[in-house]
Amino acid sequence: MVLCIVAAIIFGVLSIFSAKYRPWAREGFHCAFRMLTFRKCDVHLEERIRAHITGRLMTRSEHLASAVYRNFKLFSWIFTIIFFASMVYTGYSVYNLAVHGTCEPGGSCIFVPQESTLSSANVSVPSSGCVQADAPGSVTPYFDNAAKVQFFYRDGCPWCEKEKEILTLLAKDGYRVKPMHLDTNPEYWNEYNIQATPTFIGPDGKRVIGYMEYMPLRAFLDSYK
Amino acid sequence: MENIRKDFPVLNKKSDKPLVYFDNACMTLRPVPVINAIIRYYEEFPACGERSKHRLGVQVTEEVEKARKTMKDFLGAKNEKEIIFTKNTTEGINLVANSLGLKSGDVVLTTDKEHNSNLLPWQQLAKMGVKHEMVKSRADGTFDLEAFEKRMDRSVKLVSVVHTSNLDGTTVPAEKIIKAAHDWGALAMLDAAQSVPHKEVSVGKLGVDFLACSGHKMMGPSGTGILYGKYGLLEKMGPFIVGGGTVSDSNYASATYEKPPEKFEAGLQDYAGIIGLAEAARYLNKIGRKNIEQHETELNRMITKELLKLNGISLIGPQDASLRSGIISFNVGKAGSHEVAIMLDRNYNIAVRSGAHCVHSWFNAHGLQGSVRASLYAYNTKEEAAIFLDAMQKIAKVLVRR
Repeated sequence: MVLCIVAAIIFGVLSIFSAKYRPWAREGFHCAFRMLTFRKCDVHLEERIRAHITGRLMTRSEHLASAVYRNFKLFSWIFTIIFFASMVYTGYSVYNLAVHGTCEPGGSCIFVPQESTLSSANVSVPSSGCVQADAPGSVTPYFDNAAKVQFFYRDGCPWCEKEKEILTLLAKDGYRVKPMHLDTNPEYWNEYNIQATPTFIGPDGKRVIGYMEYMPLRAFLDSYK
Repeated sequence: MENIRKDFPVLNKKSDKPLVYFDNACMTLRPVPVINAIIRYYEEFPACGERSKHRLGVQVTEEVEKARKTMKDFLGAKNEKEIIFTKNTTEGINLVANSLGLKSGDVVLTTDKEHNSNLLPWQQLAKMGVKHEMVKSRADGTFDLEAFEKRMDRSVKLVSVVHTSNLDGTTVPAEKIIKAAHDWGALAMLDAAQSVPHKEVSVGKLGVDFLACSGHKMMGPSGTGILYGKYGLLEKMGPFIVGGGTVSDSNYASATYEKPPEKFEAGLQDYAGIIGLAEAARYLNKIGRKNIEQHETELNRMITKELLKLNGISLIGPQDASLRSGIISFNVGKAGSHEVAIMLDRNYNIAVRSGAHCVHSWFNAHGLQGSVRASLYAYNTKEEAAIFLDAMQKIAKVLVRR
């Protein structure tokens, strides 16, 4: 029964691109609707899907076909749960992409390619960052070569630009960071083992990789006052 | 019998897995002579029958009347005017139900294994006060003649029973039923969709009042059928579907109806179909329906014997294959009938029917979802039966828990 809902969604999406799947989608929706209104599915959709799958497996292995057939309910529940879990996760990622500009803030993703190395180096990964090289930047009020916290950044990196906006706000309260411009000093990449920008490194070696909001950054800078 | 296979184009298609067609109770295959007869109409005289006076029109009329005579002989009727061309068995039964003039309180007696086509018309009449009653079959699916005779009285006006069941292949003792009906002053009708194509049925010998059958179940074109009715009864009956061809004259207020059969054949007819149907009857006559009956019983015995050896097979109807015509209706463990049918089709190219076979009422009353139905005909062979049995053995192994 649960397969009908999955079938309705999958065939529904496929039928946008191909008319071949429309009758299946219609049956899926019909079946799902009957299921949700506590009525018996009268189009035997799940039965037919089970027969098609078992039939195909039979040509390879009768034992495998038999096992799948007998445990079909279990398999379809597992498949359904995985299906919906991935749907929810995809939806969450799309939300994050729209709001934060990355599919996975705080997690491993393309912006933070070597998470395992970094986590072993006692670093937290609160936000996102950039890895592409860029052109030199400009002088700003929040930079101070004598500041304790080093700020690694590049030009053309949108997350660095966003971070600079936060730093501008913090500069009004006297916060400063040491500019570590990677484009003019590319040797910093290896020297400081920089994986992504922006990256902040405190005098004790503690580093934060990726964009930080106002409050976390202020707290980070406060810890070295 | 083996030689006829060459006449069926679909059976001669080259394939790794040649088609095994075991869905003959639903629809039979058509031989080349029938297909050619249809083509002949469209190519040579594709005109109106019974109306137009030009030569093509006259030829259509002649061909249709020739077909009516062929069908009269095929069914053993006395008069070709007793042969009404219909779309199918369903239309024939509906015609009788609507035109017989049954009144409130009249009883129509059927079996409990009727196809929807011999059930729903009576359910409709029941809304107008006609009572529909059923004679329950015995546990093995055979007709309970004693219970039937016990139920008969003067209130029963029509006994309408399935001659050979499409559900399990059992055939009712038609002669005894018709005699009992007549003894009580009732009329008798046979739903002969599954009997006429497979065995010799003579309305004259049976003395039946009405008999309905379909062309598509006897190698004829789909959309063709016959309603046989005794002429005296047809004459008294009112028309069913009315319109062109049913009247000799009309004015704005009324019409003068034709005599049977024209009275019941409204609108332009399927001339190609009718001509094709007559050709199918001639083709069956050539093979001989006695031979077909023997051949099917022999194959059914072979299949039943081996099928019952498999794990989890439950047969619907009597275990004795000779009582089940060419029909083997069964279930495989708790597997859905559609599952078995899909696997037979996809893996082995074997076509069978699955589901309730339009006898939902019987399945619902027996708490079953449906059954797999293999149904045989003249062109099926022992080799095909062996392919089917081999496939069923593998499928049962996968689907049934040992």
